[in-house]
Amino acid sequence: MVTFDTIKRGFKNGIDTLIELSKILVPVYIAVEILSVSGLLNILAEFFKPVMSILGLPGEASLVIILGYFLGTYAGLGALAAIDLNGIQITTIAIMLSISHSLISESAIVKKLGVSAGASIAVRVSFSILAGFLHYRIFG
Amino acid sequence: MGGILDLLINLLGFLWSIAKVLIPIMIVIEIFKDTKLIDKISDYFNPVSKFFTLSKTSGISLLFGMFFGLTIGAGAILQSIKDYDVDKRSIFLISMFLSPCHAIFEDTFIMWSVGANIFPLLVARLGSAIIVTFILSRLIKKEPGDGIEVIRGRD
Repeated sequence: MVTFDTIKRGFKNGIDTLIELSKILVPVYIAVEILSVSGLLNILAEFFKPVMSILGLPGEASLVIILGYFLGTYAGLGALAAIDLNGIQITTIAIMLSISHSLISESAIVKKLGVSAGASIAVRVSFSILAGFLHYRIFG
Repeated sequence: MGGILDLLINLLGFLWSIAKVLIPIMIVIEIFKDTKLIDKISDYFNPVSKFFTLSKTSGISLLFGMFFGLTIGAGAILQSIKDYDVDKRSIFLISMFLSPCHAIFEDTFIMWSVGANIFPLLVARLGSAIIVTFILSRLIKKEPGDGIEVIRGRD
């Protein structure tokens, strides 16, 4: 039977879970903001530049991938809009970022479940690069 | 000071974007439970749970995470840990499936909006998740007691 109590219980569970997740989400969010403002993220972007050519992407695309990996899909897409890419390259980046994004905050969520964050990151980054490479090889 | 204010506003917006999905989902989950719908949906999902050798009640968390996102999936798993004794092996496998493949509606719509071809996108994400989870499910042995769940009383 669905009663008012059902709705109330669901609402309470929602709030409880939100508070539980916020304990991780809030500090991580602030930490990533600091990483971004301090310019450390840009140094990382420069470092990964050579890898991009293997995926058929221009050097500038590393910024899109790095921003997506660390900050999230939206940050990555913000950078994507600023550089010249063809349709195949956009899809390659979309595949890579869909599989692997917001690694810092989402790994914290995975860790909350008692699962190794390293395993989650390893799976995501390796499949992200593999899928991006395959897409470039097949369609590029 | 303006920067800190912006950060706080962004942070609140970020938490709100999660709350507006999380709370309705939790209400839906409670309705599912009280109408026994969750048992029926779990039954339909059984072949998938079986394929990945997941415990019976945990498969639904995979479904929620896949459609509504990792945060929602994790929330559903945290809730199901409170309601049932979900074994660690199933939680690990679900996490490995959801890591590359979650929020497939939202993410796919966003990528489509910037001009990506969504067919290879969906194939890549689902393919990665299925391959990883299948391999790991065959590598990690079940321990005695895994998959046997005691339903806990509500507090």
